[in-house]
Amino acid sequence: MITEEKAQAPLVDPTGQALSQLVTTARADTVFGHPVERGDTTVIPCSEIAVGMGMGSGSGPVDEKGNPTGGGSGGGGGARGRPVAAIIITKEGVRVEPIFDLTRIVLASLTTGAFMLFWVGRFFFTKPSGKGPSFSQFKRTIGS
Amino acid sequence: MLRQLKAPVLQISETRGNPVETFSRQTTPIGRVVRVQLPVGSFTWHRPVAVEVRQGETVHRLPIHDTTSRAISAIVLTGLATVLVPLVIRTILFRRRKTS
Repeated sequence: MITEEKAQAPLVDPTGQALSQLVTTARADTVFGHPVERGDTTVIPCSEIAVGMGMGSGSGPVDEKGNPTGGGSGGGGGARGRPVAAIIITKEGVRVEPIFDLTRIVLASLTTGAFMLFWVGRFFFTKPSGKGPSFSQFKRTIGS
Repeated sequence: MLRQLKAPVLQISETRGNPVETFSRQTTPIGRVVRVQLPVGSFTWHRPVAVEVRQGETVHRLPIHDTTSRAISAIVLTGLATVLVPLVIRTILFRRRKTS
């Protein structure tokens, strides 16, 4: 049984894999795509990439015999990538066309709008000397 | 005992993509890597910054602007200003009223 488990264990160290992934991110190939040629036009896609990872460990107090009573470790990471622009090479010249992510902008606008609405509402319906209204009070005021 | 060389916490470097030669023009995309290395983890941010166009003896750089990030920053800053400015004014007025 133990032999089977050993056989199924991954051969590559996951931490090493993650670290090598971080090194790979720093290469230019990850940000600039392969040039795409269509007729007289060549397009180079450009994207932004961010990779992060962290890990930590800790142990509990030591008992009378000098053995640690507990411990643990953990780690995590994430990666994000999004297109930023496209380099367009034509006979006339080279130009950079930015990629406008409307979804992100709409989401940011909605979040900022909600934040502003909450604070401006709190600002108008608060007595200067006391605490502001609760969220339910504010919701009731907006609703009425 | 082996001692590892201490890597700097913040590293900023420039990367160059493969040059593309078309119409007697050499186009090289340029990127920037920001790497933060801490004992508990690391973070790498790689983004394109410019394009270098070389034509004969002339070399010029075209900047790559991240329009989406700029728009989001503008929206967030406007929101913060809309909230913070009246709050500060109100606090100042309230303090003045209290002291007088």
